[in-house]
Amino acid sequence: MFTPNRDGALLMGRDNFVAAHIKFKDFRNLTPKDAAKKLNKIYDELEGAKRKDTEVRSSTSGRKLDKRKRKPTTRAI
Amino acid sequence: MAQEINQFSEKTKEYGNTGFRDLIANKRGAICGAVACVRGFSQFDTIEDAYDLAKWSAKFRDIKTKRAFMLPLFDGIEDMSEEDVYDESLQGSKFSAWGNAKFKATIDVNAYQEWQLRGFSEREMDVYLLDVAQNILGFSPDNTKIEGFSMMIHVGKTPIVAKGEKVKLPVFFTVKSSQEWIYPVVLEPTVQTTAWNPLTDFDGVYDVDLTQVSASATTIVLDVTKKSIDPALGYAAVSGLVLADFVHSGAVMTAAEESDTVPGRYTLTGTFANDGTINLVACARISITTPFIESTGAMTISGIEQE
Repeated sequence: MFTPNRDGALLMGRDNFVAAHIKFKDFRNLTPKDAAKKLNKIYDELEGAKRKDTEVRSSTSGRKLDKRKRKPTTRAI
Repeated sequence: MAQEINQFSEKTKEYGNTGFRDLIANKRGAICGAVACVRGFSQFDTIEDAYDLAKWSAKFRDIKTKRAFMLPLFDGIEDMSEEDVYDESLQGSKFSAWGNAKFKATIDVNAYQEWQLRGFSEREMDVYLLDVAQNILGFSPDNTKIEGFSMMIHVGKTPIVAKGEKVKLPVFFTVKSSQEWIYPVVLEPTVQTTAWNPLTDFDGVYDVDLTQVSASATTIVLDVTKKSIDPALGYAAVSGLVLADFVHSGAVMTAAEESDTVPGRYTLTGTFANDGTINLVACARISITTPFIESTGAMTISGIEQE
């Protein structure tokens, strides 16, 4: 089963990725069009996986304490 | 024993009981092989570990400075041990010292293997011996751990033989400690629940060469073949490697695939440039275990046409 390294694939770029693997076992029996389609789909998934990893999470997800409800701090004398 | 001046001790063994009719007969035979370990790295913590083939394999694949080297099996053996020494005195003949235990093994190897074996000459190593009855001989320093015998190895000169005879390399093994030799531990892996045979299951590490077939900015095709075997011969090829077995000096690689038609020929994809290098990972990290392989050195990428 074709399991490319994501970082290596993204570094190659989509066109190179498709061209370099089109003769691999998983794709060579397909028509060039189908093979390219399948490889493009794999590339999409690799790209998607990267986006997911770099997703920026909202910083407002936790409840903020009301300033008035905060415990008073004790000052050192 | 409390330490006091001039208070001596002697490592002696009390009388042993000698019933023999119901016991298993002696199953040891002629020594026909050796596993030479780098000094200090032959030890198994327990007898169970020593019966675990995977633990032996780990020693065979370890880095060279800690490795156990399975030597080619012996074709012949000659006992060259010295006689024990006795002191003749007015009180009669008294045992004085053990004679050195020593033997000469003759090994049928090609010139490449002979060259490899010369690396063991004049080395003090911990050596397990294998016999024709498929036993492994070592010793135990504490009745728990198992180690190889401390031995000095000398690889002799290549003999000149008469017509019809074969050149066989003489290798001399001298036992350093008589105590180890006279109290051996005999392992019988062939009669264990999970049986294995050291004479057939042990092998050394093979040197392999990486040779470039073609190169482009995105694809490298290379052959992985055992050294000193004509690459045209099928069994020279090393099959079954995966992407994780290769390492590139530059960017991380994308995929690896072995050819269907040429065994041992791999297509690697990624982003490549001239003068970059490709190598195999360390022996212990290679995904295939039959055979054990180690790269002779990195392959330099060349011939990529610049755009």
